[in-house]
Amino acid sequence: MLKLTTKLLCAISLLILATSVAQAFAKQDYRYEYVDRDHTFQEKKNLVGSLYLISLAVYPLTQWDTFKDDGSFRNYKNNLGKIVFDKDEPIWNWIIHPYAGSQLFLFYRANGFSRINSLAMSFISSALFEFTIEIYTEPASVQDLYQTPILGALIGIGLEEASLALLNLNNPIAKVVGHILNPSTLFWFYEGKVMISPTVDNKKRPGLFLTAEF
Amino acid sequence: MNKFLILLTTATFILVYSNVLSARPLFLGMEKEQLVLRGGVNIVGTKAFTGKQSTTFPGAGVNTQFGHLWKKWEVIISSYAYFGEIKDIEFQFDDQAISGQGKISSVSFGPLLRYYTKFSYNPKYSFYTTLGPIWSLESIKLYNTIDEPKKSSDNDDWLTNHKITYESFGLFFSLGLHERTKRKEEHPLFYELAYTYQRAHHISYVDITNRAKVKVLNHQQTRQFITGHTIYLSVGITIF
Repeated sequence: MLKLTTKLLCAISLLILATSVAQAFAKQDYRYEYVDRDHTFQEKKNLVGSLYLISLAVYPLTQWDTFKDDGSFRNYKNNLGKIVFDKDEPIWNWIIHPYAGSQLFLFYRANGFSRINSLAMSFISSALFEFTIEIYTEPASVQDLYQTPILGALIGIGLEEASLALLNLNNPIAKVVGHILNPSTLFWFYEGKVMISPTVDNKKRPGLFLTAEF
Repeated sequence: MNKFLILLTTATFILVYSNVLSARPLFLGMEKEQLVLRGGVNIVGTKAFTGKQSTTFPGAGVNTQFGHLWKKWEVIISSYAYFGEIKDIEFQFDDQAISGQGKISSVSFGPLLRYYTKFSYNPKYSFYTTLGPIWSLESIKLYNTIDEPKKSSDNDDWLTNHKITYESFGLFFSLGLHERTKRKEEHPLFYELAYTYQRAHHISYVDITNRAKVKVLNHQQTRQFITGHTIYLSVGITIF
């Protein structure tokens, strides 16, 4: 199972790299930006639901040993509603969970949520995972509940700014790195492609015409 | 320490009482309540009492605060963390005394209530005060013990592959200065002096041989008196 997980992660990484390279060399008529908008309740439900199903599938794949050794429905029942301080090593609480939180944050940003709303949605997604999926193996952790969305948002903002700066450079290597830092810009749900074209009005005054994809 | 606490409490009471009717918002262009995320760095000094002895040690770390801000009041969920080095720490665990020196990491979480006053030495800043309960986890990784100061392979293995953690509960109090700007997007600064008093209630002995999956070998309610007084000096900004 570990070999399968490693192969799966390698495949996903190669796919991101290949797509980044293809996009980097494609003709680009637009800028990468973030366009904030309001969302209906149905949209929010669909996004949270999609991420929930993905994490339900990915969790046993990425933590197979823990899932097999410590997971049971008895544990699920005992851990329901419990919150504890976990004793994990700092690499989990300070690096891995915040990085996962940053990708959650960037996913919601790509879908048109503002920074503060992306943080709130990341918190909801992270809390749903902690309280309803991970309790199959261990109780919900205070550090994970807080640091995944909050430190994730801080790291996410840094990745957002860095990736936009790289993606808007006229350099294929910079674009590849930009997409790798922020994989959400590769997918169909990214709403921030803004086309800027010069225009002249009927009074012969120059201007810029902006079109954004939704 | 008691006189310092009385002075802090009196100063806070005077600040709050004299501003109870003031209605000046923190962000001058603020029309309605809003969510705010702040981050900063801390320098820390802690005095810990364990059993029969006390020890003082410095540390450095980070803090984050996620709050819901009204005009003068704010409800915050915060985290204060630091890393440091501790000498002469002593624990009673399973009727055995373990003492030595090592690295300590501490992370605290808590819901806090903050009040922004109209007082300031400078119109660009406001004094604020914060109060609330705090829960924390301290992890200590010893790198030598007093009982076995000489290196041996068994002792090295024990020290490298194990850590002691204890969970505490206590109180958080702070006084600070927050920059007044028109909007939070201008990333205003804050400076803060905070104090926490915590008392340990649960101690665990953890095997960290496998960093990916640690194992709690033993845990118990503490029968010993472990308390800590910590002073934080923080500076940070509003992120968004």
